[in-house]
Amino acid sequence: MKGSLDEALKRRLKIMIIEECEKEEVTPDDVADDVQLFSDASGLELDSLDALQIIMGLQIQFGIRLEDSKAFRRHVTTINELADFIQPH
Amino acid sequence: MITILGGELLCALGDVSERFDALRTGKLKLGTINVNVGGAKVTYPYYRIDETPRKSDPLIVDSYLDRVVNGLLEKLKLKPASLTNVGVFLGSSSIDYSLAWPIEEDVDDDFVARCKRERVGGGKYLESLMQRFGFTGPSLTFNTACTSSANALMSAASMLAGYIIDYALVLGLELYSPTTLEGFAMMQLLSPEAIRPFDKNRNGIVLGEAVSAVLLSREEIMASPWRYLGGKSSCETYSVTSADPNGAGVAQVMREALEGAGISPEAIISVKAHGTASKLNDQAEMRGMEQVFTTLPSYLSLKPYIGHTLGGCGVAELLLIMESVDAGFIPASLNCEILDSEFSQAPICNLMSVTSGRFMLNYFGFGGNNTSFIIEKTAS
Amino acid sequence: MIYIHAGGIHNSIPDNQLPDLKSELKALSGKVYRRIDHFIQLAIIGAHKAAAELELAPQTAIYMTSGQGDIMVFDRVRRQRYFQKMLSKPVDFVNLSSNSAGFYVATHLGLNGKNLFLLHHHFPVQMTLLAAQNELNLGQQKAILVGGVDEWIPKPELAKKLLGVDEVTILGEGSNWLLLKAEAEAALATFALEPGTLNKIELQRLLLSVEAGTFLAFSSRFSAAEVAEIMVMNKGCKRYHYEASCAYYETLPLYVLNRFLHQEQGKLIHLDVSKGRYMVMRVGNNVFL
Repeated sequence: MKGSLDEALKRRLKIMIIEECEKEEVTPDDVADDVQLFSDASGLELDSLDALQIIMGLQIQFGIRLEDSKAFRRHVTTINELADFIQPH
Repeated sequence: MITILGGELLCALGDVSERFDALRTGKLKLGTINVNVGGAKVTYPYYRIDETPRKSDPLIVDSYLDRVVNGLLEKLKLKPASLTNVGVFLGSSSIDYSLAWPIEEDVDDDFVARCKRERVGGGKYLESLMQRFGFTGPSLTFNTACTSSANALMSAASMLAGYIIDYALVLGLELYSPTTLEGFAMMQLLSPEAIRPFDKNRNGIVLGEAVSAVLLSREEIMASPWRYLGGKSSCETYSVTSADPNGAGVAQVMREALEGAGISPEAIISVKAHGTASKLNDQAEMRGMEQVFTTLPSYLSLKPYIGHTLGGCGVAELLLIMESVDAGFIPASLNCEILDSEFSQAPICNLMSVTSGRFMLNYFGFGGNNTSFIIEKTAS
Repeated sequence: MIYIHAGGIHNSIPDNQLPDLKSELKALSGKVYRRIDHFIQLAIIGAHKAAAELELAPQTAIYMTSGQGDIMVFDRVRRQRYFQKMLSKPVDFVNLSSNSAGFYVATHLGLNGKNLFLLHHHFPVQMTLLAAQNELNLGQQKAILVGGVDEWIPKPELAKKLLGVDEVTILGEGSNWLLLKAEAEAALATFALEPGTLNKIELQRLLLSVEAGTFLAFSSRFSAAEVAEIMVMNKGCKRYHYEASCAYYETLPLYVLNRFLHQEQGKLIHLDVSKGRYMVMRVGNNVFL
């Protein structure tokens, strides 16, 4: 299944992001699937250190290796995109 | 008046004549190192003191510290016992070496049983060094990231000014640490090819090793053409990983350093920038200098010569400036081929004849640490 | 002479379980910070108790000391590297390679002054106070918050070996702070540290000149026999007992000074010893009466 259609995967991703970035006041339901995670609109207020924490979380929990945090922030900007990146088909 | 009597340095440039050659000609000895980045081996450029295999073994650290202290004493024709009332100060970003060792050995359940009942901790290296040399005065180990040995030097100068001690031995320590290399690699702060301070295409730092020692005193005890005039250290809470890129915090610490030294910005001949070649550091630093100096003095980064030696750079880079000026010049700031278009002035591109004057030395680090101090070489 | 203007105590004896300092910090200050571990929480709690109610000048410096610093994170990072073959988390790496605790204390209290993390093998508290006292006397600093922070780790057997203390020692944790200034106005007490270490004869000579009624506090490194010997030789002094209220950690002397100022009126001499060398600190809070 394409990642963006896999609700369970998307929920796991949101939980991972909330944990890695210590955003305890946020629930997975607060994070929209199509909002740019690193924009003001997401309400998450994430910075470059958060991007690195998320990359580590992807590596540990999803076995995904990403070399470049800037490219990551440019290309993988929403939960849907992230889910498709992990699970393209 | 606080005098700087001389120092000894181990770094990638080699011994004093090799250092002199490299600083004069810009010829470098850049090595490489393999870093384990999440299971993959990545090769990065690296400046190492020598090819001796490294473990986080306390005895190796001790042997490098002994070499610089003995070298310094020899150079100044002093014996440990002639340093009466000496304080010893050490700065390193990796003060946990001494903890690393027992914990790395902790590979099985018997470890707790095998482990010696003996205190380890950040003050351990200085403690054993003092025992080996018979020093009994005050001592302190500083852990303030990349400003560690610069801050150690400033506190040493204060203890001299307060007549608590008559000599101050200040040490900078940064040796190979896999955790440090992996940490910087993981944070994507390492350049894959070269360190290019202030260049438009700068793409990160290159790490290096340095172990150094410098001896300070007061004019009436031992005179020297080199003097420490004053400095300032502050904590900028903009971000735990960088100074505010608008340069405000950096400018503030430079202004207060000048004030502490009792001199005006125009009196500075050259600024030894921190110049790590990370995007944000160089930007903050340049903007800071532009705010402090109406006309920018010449400036340089020494990191292309020895790498970013983290907590060790405070003393190591001070000694490189002193050795260069003693030989009649300030070295060129290497690797800035295309100046960042936002910057108003390029660093020194050809070595500059200088035999005396006042110099500002700047250091910035993680944890909001900003440090700036002023030294002077009086004309003979 | 320098002066103590405020103090703060956080002192606990964990009962085989790591205290939940995150909740404690939130209850105390209403603040929740990201990216801070147990050691940093501990540092902020103590500093908060000392200074949150005061109007500190933003240039107030922070000189923090510890026996072993952030040993839990260090242990975790090492374990991840050597056993799980994993990289450390960015946040752990940043906190380990700098004096992050001082950074977050400065953030919490709105300070931008000099911020040091200092260590010493025998006398972390006294050597840190020596630097502070000297820089206040020189006028290089106007106010310095001096803190001693030591965390309890959930591996007491290993911790005791690495601390070099015997197995029956009970370990505690603490974050104890003093606000020091060179100015006397509105101070709580005077503070003076003998700048050098003394041998036994020099110590006794110093104690002979002490006025009657002065309290003596002994660090936990003194043997019972030596305490008894010193008390017999200095009959005019009173022993200050604090030992029942705390367990062992290396920055205890800052707890003792704080506790004395909180509970007693008078003069206290705090004695510490390591390898036959002694360090002496004096506080007095009856001088302003």
